Amino acid sequence: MSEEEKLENTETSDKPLKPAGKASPGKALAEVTPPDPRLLALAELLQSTFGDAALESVVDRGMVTLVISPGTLLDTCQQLKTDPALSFDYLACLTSIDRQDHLEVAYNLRSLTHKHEFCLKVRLPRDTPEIPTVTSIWKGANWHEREAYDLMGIHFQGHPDLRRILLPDEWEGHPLRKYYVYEPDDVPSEQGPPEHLLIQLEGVE
Amino acid sequence: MGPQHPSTHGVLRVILKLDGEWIVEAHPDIGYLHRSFEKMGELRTYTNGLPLTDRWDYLCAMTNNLVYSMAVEQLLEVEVPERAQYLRVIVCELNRIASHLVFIGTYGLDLGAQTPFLYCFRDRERILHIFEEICGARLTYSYIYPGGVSGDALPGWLEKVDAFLDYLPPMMREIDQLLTGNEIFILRTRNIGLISPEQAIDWSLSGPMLRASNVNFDLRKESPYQVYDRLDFSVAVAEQGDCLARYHVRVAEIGESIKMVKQCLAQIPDGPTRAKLPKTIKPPAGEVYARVDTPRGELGVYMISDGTDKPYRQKIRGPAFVNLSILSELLPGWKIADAVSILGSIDVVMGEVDR
Repeated sequence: MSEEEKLENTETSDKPLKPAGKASPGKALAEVTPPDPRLLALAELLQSTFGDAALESVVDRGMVTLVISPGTLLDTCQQLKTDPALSFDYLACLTSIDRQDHLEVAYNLRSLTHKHEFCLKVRLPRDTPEIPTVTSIWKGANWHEREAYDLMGIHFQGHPDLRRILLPDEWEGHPLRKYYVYEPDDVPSEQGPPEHLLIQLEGVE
Repeated sequence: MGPQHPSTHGVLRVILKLDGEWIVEAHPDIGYLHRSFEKMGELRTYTNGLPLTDRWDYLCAMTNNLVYSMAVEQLLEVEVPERAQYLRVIVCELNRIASHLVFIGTYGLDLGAQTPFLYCFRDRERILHIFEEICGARLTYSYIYPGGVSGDALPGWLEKVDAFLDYLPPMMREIDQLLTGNEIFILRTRNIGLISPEQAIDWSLSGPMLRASNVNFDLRKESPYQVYDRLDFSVAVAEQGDCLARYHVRVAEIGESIKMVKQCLAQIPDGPTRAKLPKTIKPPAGEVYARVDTPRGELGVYMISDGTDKPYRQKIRGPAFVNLSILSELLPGWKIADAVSILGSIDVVMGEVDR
């Protein structure tokens, strides 16, 4: 894997980069990008800790991803935060994804003590996208979860204040869903454009 | 409070429940500036999505360009030419100075000091001129591209940057004298809006908000991107965790940025400024999380490619969005006047909060 990636790097870039003379070898530019042994070590550590709970583990382009089932989410997160070898105390990002046949929630977690990070993922059925909230573990999840509820329609059970956050309260539907029907502004609706716009449109034609 | 109140820096509304002068409950209400950039990004090609990034955080659009480009580059697994990386760091750090100058100016304004605002905007204008010269725009740059930068610096541009860096420190001392030692300013900020280190980490704060609470974490240091690992700089950290500490951290960061750009100017090599990329960018399917340290904190983009010429999904992790979420826990217990101090010290840009 790492050999291939190195080859690709040299092929696509204009000029392969040489590590700077004075920088320490561990931090040389060419090594910051994907083939990082620390990532593989972290992936192994996670795999050994959550052997049974982990459905899938991927190391791709600088990111370790671990997929678990929604049922074990709270226990796993609690362990991720409290286990001294892991101590993921910082929730960097929370992303909701519509995969069309199912939904996904991705948690980018980071440890400020060990300076490592990875991506935890759960898959949810499209019809009943329900998942326990992680606000009790990382308070920073609060607005991220509200956003995921607002735009993707994922219900976080036990969230202290699950309301729409970016869109108005009376909005219908969840725009980031792939099958969300929207009308672009420049396409006239069936009734035609509103009257005050008609004059302008005639002028343009 | 808001959404048209001048101290809310744009269109932020905070619903406050009061007991006399004291705040009992606070509920921030955002979304007035929502333009659905995440959805718009899904409908555009990778190259066409770039100009949208200028509109997230319009006070430091360079870092937005950078994180978007880095996400695309990570998906493609390309390395950017060295000269382009140096140019990127130069413009990003200059943009940090410009953004912090706006913060210092408007923060003074929030607390009743008019003069620093004019001084700060005078100096920020010089940075905008420098940017205009390299990319033709004052605020919406689209300068940093996937694969490099949109154009090399014109002859004499680097010397102009150098001249500006010599010009700025005496001016900073002047602004410092006006504000930092000002008794009213100190009374309005010291021991106001205290955030403990544990609280800061728990709420995922980042940037000066995190570092002012005595947490030494800076993405430029911990997981260096571009050429930050070749620069010698220290991370500005303060212990108190109050509004004054957040102000001090930002002032100190201006000094560090000046140091960094100076080093970049000394080190920058000749060479191409763009990697060879295909005309139509079609990254192989996969997911990446790119993040950079902006003047407001960690700006992240979670980008998913399905192998087509448009991103399947991109989530924007705005630093001000997350920093603002602590408000409901932070404000209760302080007076209304303190709310203005606290809100100003978070340094929000609503364009990025609402996206």
